Amino acid sequence: MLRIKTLLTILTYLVVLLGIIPLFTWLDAPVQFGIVGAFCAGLLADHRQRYLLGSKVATVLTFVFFAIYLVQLNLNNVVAPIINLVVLLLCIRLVTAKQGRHYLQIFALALFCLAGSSLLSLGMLYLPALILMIFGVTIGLVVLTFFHRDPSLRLTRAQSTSLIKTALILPIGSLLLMLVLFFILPRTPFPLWNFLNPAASATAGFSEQVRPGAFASNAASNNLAFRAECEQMGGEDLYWRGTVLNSIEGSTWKRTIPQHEHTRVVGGQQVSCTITLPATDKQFLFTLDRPIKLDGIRDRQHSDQVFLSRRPLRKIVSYQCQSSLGGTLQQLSAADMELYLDVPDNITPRVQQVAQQIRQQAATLPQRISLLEDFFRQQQLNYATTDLPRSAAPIDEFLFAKKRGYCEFFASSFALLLRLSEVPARLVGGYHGGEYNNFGGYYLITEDMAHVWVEALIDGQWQRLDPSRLASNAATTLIASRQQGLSLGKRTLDSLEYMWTQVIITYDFNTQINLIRNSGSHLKNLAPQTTTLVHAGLIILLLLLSAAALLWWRAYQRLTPQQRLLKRYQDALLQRYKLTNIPPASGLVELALKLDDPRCLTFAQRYSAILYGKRHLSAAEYRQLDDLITEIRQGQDKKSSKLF
Amino acid sequence: MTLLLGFGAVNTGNNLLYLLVSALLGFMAISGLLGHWNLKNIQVTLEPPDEIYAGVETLVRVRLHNRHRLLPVFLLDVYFAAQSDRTGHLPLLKKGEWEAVGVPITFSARGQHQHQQLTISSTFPINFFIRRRVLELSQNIIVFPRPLVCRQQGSVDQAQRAGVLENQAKGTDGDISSIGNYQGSEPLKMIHWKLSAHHDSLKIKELSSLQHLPVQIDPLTLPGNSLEQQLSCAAYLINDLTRRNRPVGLKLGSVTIPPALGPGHKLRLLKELALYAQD
Repeated sequence: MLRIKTLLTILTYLVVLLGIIPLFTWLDAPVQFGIVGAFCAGLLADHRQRYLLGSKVATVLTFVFFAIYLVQLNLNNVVAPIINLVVLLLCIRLVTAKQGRHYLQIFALALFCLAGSSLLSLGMLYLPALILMIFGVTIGLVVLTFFHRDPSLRLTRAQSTSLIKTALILPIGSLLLMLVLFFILPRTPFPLWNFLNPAASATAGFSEQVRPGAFASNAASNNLAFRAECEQMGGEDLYWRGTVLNSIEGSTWKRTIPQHEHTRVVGGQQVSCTITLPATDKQFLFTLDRPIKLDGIRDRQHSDQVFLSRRPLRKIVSYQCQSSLGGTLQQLSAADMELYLDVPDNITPRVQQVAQQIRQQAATLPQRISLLEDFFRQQQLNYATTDLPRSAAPIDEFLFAKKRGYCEFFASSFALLLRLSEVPARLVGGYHGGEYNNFGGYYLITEDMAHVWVEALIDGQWQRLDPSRLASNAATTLIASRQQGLSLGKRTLDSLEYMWTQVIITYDFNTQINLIRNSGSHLKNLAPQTTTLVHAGLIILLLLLSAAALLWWRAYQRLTPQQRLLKRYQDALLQRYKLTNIPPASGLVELALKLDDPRCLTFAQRYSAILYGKRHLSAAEYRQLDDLITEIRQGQDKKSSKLF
Repeated sequence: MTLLLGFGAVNTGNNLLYLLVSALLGFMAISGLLGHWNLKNIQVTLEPPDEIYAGVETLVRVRLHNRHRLLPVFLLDVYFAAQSDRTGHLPLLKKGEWEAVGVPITFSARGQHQHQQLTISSTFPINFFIRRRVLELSQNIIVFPRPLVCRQQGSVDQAQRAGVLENQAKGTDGDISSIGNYQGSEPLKMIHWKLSAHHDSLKIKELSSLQHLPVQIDPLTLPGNSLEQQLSCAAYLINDLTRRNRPVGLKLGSVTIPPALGPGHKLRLLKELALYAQD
């Protein structure tokens, strides 16, 4: 026997766990201790039926907690105080005596906790927590209904199984409906309380400025930068453009928005990719170099092919990028040569000497670039992220002393030497590389793939140059580290997370409108594929019929031959005499007499003789009774004496 | 709660909240459907007791048949119209099974009651709402007049005066009235062993009956301000006299039923009272 209260207690604490786990790390430390303590104390108290807090103390504590956290509430800090408060209310409820409505309050508070966690993180773990929560709460509410009726109720094993089986319809049905309702519930294009959503995190790898020598080491995380859904490409093509840094102040490269310049991308192979950016505090829209245009987002395009969002990217966005692989960026108007040739004053003599030699040895710009590349190779520079140059003249130290650095050192020193050699140059910041996920069909770009390269203006065309490739260890450190390949587990997990982001997180008002618009055309497109639909329908029908047949056969096999005969006989009577039902208490003979049918009487007498004679039904008897049933069903007027 | 979360979801545009709200809305829909199914496909038959008196609470057996092929039904409360505080409760009825539950009912008037309004309600699956299904049952129930105590000597005398038949039946609990031969069907305690020893055959003691004199009741002559009171008085007397093992008969209008004993006879008398002047 299972006590209904035991079942309810188990479900209640399960629901509490599911509500707390997703937001536990976001709680204040005292609240964390409080909820762990309350959970254990509540379990113990429920077991012993002795509770720590009386109702009056609980009420006073509730007011105190309200006062503490409502004081902290302001427009910049809304979610955290409320969530801490809800968890504390849950603590109080756990350690006090519980009646029916208290269990209901616990369920509601746990649901609020889960809802609150969605305002702190958009992680995929929310989904399993939600699914389990729906199972726990819905079955819990059903059990609570029984508890409300009789708190001391005990169910047999069969009863509790029957109850749980029926109650399972609730969560399963709810979750199926959730899939439909999620996409059709109304949304607004401009949510008023957007500020309540999870705050955007700053990116660690990509930077709006390049300052070689600012850090002794560069340890960018492998956090997600963005994902790009497209066909797989060669590693040398994977340059993801973010920003262009065209002015230099001291050793810092910054961006100046180019004015009155016109450019155009020509040639190359056009590719399209869908880029999904996580929430960020910047407005750069990353593109596959060289970008032509963006769709699906309100953007602002600069002449140096830098794209910026018109709105803050406080939530995950997804947009389509048209790019030209191998295309060239033509400068259609006069470039601001003063800007692109500008150099700082504090250049060391050694660096100036290198540039002077290049200027003297080569007359054309391509030759100067070639000479500079040779110089980089001769210097045997190493690509490294630790023990970096940190002196007042980091470029000089990088090129002549330490000879180690990461992409910022390579690119800034190369661009500086180009400018000193009178070659217009600028830095491009973004990402290089990407792990292709075959399952999802997209590139995963992480923060440690942040990269800086150089563009030089040669014959009216901006040419991409990546000096990091000139490192003596480029093949083993730079390129290989960016194409390590993901393990099967990571790929699967990341595919799921990508799908989660694409389907759930980025679904908004615009997507909803597009879905409605496209649904019409999708339906039209379905028309020519009638054959496919018919085939699919037939397969589904076949599967359903097979399942029904299997269920029927299983039920049929459970019956003994006598029971089968009786069932057939009763079915025949229902059909022949248009009866609505045959009460189980009515005897066979009694029924036959009521129906005034000699065949029924014969059947009843014969069947009863076998049943009460406690003997097995012979094959001949079975056939005879079966024939009789057929006659009853068909309503034939034969004398029973002919049969027996 | 769902409304509050829905309001939050729309205003934050947070899709995780939308998921939760969608699931809760789905839950509301499915729970409504489950509650509807829970009261559907239940067949009901009434099994009233033999004696039902007007104004007296009686327990009627209500047999419920769960005609669902797949689902059991839960937490059924069964009550007759306007008597929702007097319910019969059935926590679980498995698929395809029959079960009976006693439901109290009080009929206000005697006579034939052809139609009964029965309500089946349930809080299943969640205790937020109570769903009801009202069934109109056509089953003839005869309600006898409410027995009203009328033990005045006059009424009994009146009844006794009408009783003219003497009961000649032999009894088993009175004095010895004669000696007879053992026929084989008499109880052994009736055998007169001493007397049998002097004869070739077994002799038995034939005892007189302690049964009272039979009574013929004419309700219209009984005290009472109205016909209903007279019928009630008659119902009381029939019950009382039968309980005392006294043969009772009835003379009501053109109907005359000679005094007799037994539950079947009593029901016949009460039925006459119930249906008198009902047309």
